[in-house]
This record gives sequence, C-alpha cells and structure tokens, in this order.
Amino acid sequence: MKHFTLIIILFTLLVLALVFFVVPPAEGLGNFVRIIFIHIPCAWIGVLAFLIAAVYAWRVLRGARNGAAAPAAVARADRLSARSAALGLAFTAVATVTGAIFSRLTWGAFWNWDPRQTTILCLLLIYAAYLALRSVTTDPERRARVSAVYALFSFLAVPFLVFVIPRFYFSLHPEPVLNAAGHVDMDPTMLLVLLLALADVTLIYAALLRKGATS
Amino acid sequence: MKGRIAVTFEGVSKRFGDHAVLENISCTLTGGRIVAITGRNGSGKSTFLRLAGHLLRPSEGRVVVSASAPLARDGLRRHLGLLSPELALSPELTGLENLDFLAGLRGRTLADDEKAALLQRVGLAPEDARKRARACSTGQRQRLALAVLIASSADLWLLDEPGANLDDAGKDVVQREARTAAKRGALVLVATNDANEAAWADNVLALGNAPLMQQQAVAGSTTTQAPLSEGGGPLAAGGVAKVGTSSLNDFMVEGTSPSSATIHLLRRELVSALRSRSSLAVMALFAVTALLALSMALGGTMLAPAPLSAMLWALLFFASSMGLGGTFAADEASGTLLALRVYGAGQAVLYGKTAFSFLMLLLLAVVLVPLFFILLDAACTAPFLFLAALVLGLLGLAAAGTLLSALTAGSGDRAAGGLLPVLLLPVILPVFLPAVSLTQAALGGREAGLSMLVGMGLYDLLLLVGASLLFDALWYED
Repeated sequence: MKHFTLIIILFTLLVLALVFFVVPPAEGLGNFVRIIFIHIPCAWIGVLAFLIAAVYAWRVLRGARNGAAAPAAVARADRLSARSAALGLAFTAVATVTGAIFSRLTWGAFWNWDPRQTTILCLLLIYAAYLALRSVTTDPERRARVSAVYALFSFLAVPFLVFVIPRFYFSLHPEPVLNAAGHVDMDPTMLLVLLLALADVTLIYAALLRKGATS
Repeated sequence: MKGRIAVTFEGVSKRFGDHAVLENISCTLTGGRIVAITGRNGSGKSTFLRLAGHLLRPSEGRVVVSASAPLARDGLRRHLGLLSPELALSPELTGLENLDFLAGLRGRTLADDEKAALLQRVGLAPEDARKRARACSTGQRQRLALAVLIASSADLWLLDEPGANLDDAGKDVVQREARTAAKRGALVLVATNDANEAAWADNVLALGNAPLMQQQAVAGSTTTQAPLSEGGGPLAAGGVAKVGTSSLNDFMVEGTSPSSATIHLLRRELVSALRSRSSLAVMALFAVTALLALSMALGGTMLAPAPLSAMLWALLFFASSMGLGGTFAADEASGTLLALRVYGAGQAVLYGKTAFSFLMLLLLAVVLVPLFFILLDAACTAPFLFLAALVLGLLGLAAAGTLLSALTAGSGDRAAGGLLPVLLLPVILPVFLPAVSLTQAALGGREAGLSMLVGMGLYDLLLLVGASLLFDALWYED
C-alpha cells in the first residue's frame, strides 16, 4: 500500500507539472484552460463514485435478501458504498467550484443554471441527501438497507440528467471531449495530459476507497 | 398450497446492534399443535415469533417456512396471522371495515353473515363493531384483531402475549380459537409469560436461562433445558428438536389478487383521509398560506411566465412533501404498519399507497391551481399542455414520494421524516425541470416541445418500476 501511495504521489506531481508547464494556452481561453484538468477529472469521479456507490448498494440489498449468510460482506459493501458517496461528494464539490470559476472567467457569471451545472448540482444534492439519511439512521442494519435503497433509486435520475435533460435546454458548456459526432476536437498534447489527469484522479479515488474498505 | 405448515430454525441468531437477543436456535415446529414460547422479559419471545413469520431477518442462520415446499415471503404472507398488542387496526375505520379491509388484503370477501358469525365467535357485540376502531376499548380492538386473524385463514398463528388487554372471557375465546386452528392443522405459536396461557400448549419452547415458570410441569406438555429429543417432546433454545408429526393436511389458502388488494388499500386510505382530513388539510392549508403570502408580498405586481411557473412548482413541491411524508409515517406511528406487513403483500401496499398519493396531489392541485391563477393574475394560453405537465409532474412526485416516505419511515428515526424534501428533490428533478418549462410555455413564455412530455412520461415510468423493484427491501427486512 505504501508503494501504491508513493506511485500516486509521484504520478500526481508529474501530471501537475504537465498541466502547468507543458499544456499550451488555449485559443480564446489563455491560461484559464488549465482549470479543466482539475474540473473534468473531478466531474468524472463525481459520476463514477455514484456508480460505484450504487453497485455496492445493490450488493447490500442482494446480501440482505440472501439472508444473513455473510453479514460481514454486507457490512463491507455498505461501508464501501458510503465511502464512495463521501468521496463522490468531495470530488463533485471540487468540480462544482472549478466549474463555477471557469464559468465566471469565460461567461461572466459563476452560475447560470446551464444544464451541465444543474446536473452537477443534482449530484451534489443526492450525495448530501444520502449522507444526511445515513447520519440520522442509527441502527447499522437499517442504515445499510435504507441508504442502499436511496443510492439505487436516486441513480435513476443520472442518465436522464446527463443524456436527456441537456437536450431540452440551450447550453453554454463546451462540448464533451468526445463530442456528439463522436470526434475528439482537442489539441493532442492537451488530450494526452487530460487522459493522464483522468487516470491520476481515478487512482486517487481508488486508493481512498480501498483505504475505506480496510479501515 | 397443500401440506401441513412447518417452521424450521437453522442455527438462527438475532442481534439488535451489539445486543444479542437469540443465539443459535435450531428447531422444527410443525402444524397441528400449539407451542408456547416462554422466557424472561427480554429473552426474545416476540423476536422468535417475528422471525418465524419472516417479519424479522435473522442476523445469522435461516428460518424456513414450508407447506408442501418452502414458501417465499409473499407466499408465506398468505399463511400468516398475528395477534399482538403492537398490531393496531386502522383507527379511522370501523371494526367491520377493518375486517373487510384486512380480509380483502388476503383476497377474501366476507359476507354479512360471515362477519356476524365472526363477531359472535370473538364475543363482540355488533354495535361495538360498527364503532371506529379509535373509539373501541383496547380489549375490543384485541377481539377485533382476533376476528381478523380467524378470517384470514392463516395456518401460522403468531400470538404475542395474546391475553394482554383481555378479560378472562376474552382469554378463553383466544384459547378456544387457537385450539380450533391447531385442530385444523395450523401451527400456533404463543409467546407468553403467563403460566395459564402456556398451559394451553402441546409443547413449550423455553428461551434463555430457565425462568421459574419453565421449571414447572405444564399440563399436556413438558418443558426442560435438557438436551433435546426427537418427537413431540421437550424443546429448548440452542439445540435441535422436532415437534409434531409430518402428517398431511389439506387446506387451501385463497390466492390474493394484487389488484384487488391494491383497491382495498386505496379505499382504506381514501376513507381514512376523508374521515381524519389531517394530511389533506395540512397540505392544502400550507399551499394556500404560502400562495397568499407570495401574493401579498407581490402586492399585485404582474409576473412573467418564468417566475410564475417556478413559483407554482415550488409550491406544489413543498406542499406535496408535507403530505407525502405522512404516507407511511402515520401507519408507523399508529401501529397499523404491522397489520399491513402481516396481511398485505408488499407490492399491493406500494401500488395502493402510490395511487392514493397521486389522487391526494391531484386534489391539492384542484385547490391550489385555480387560486394561483386568480391571485397572481396568470393566464393560461395552452391549457392541455399545462394539464399534461401537471399530471405527469404530480405522478412523478407521487411515485418517488411514496417510496421515499416508506424509506424515511423505515429508517427508524423520526428525524428522517424531515429529510423527505431533501431526498425527493434530486430524484424528481428530471420531471420537475421539464414541468416548470412546460408550465412556462403554457403561460405564454418560452417554447417547449412534445419531447419534454415524452421525457417526463418515460421518467415517471422509470420511477414507478424502480420503486416497485426496491420496495420489497424496505417492506420485508427489519
């Protein structure tokens, strides 16, 4: 685990060096573009962490339905689901703040209810509601069950918010990296650094989640 | 379902938090007899009964209930009956209506003469059965609950302190009916501290350390903490025992139509709501008061369609949250949730509650929307679009709100009830946002397409299916 942590720290330093010293300024955005190397990976983890929380929530309910054959496995799945949600909340909060800063620098306002901003706010609300529900439920078995049900039920909203709702409203948000036509319109250096940043943040998330599983 | 009912505990333990109530229970109990479950206070008698009826989930081991084959939970529900001081009847229904309702959940329709015979069997005067349950004495309600148990055709009777709240004549009635049920093949489990009640039993299962009563010989049965034997002999927690024989007994339990049970539940919700009027009145008064406050604050200022539609849906959302919060919490508080768990199938309860929530929200809209148009001087240019958005938006609120109400009630903490709007908002955003946009379009604002209505309809469907798939996890596990 120590070696894994060290590798992640070195990798993170490398990615930061690439972001600040190798990535060229973007046309029209200048050096502001560097913020997307934090914003996009954090937003990605915001969605990934929710998916992982839902997967472990499903394991909690499946374990409960199978009786008490493996209470330790159910407890572990519940712990991981909660841990993933807590990490998701932190990463989504960073993505929201960096997105708002980017919005202010490029469009002149921190918040304008762009569909993408609405989606990320909804994720934040779900994470907050999930953790609030856990905090008021004291019995561990009940807590595992009700929070698993909420994690899965609220996950229904995600595909609609990500894929359907943005189609109904005008958006100032830049096209996703992989645009609607299936093309990547990005400078090759930027794309490489972005992919490295995505890998780095995913590794950080995985390491923190793994720590939660063993603690 | 043919065959005598049997309940098998296989290495069952039950803990609440760190507190172990039952440890490593193994035994098989078969129908056609009465088994008393005895032990000190806190020894796990009631827990044992709830485990036997799958009303609780073991922490370890498993409980198998079988007739000719092991029964799944919904299958078991058709065999189960409970008499307990914790089981409450619907307070706003009369005794007879409660009988009709709970028998209806089992798919049974009781004729007038059947009901009269039942009341006579449990020693309840017809005029007492025509009173609302809330007006009956505790003993009368206990007799009504016994009548429900008899009418349910259950062949697994769980009697938890059955003599509580009953006079001597009432206790005799319970004993007589328990014996009648056992004679027709039912398994009757009686959790009791009362030596007289334990004396009805064919066998006694002693839980925990041997209390005084268990050391006494009980007429017609034996009790001991000694190692266990096969056959109809002594029983004790911690070992393996066989009780009763495996002779066949044919008695059919009527199948339950989910739609019929749903309609019974919807009718019960409507009757209770109309008689108590509390949740409807609170919801409508909240919405109207908030609207009046807004209207007064605006002082006649004309608003554009965008803020008007946003205000309408914010009012509907928060008023709905207030009303929907009571969907399951009221049953939890009154104790009627246990009766629904015992006599109703989970899906029927969900559908009935969701249908009621939807009707309640439509009623709220009937009160709120005309007032909204009058007080805020709004004009609707596309009424059909507005109505479609309203109906689909309220359907989404009802579907999500009902499941989340069950979730907050199942969390076991009253504080969770206050979280309902927090839990609900992110889940219904995919219908809330298009509903606001479509309302804005109907009030003459922005353009909105049919695709939004389709999206709302699809998401409503997804919410209904998701709620249906997840509800059992809240309904059956404890």
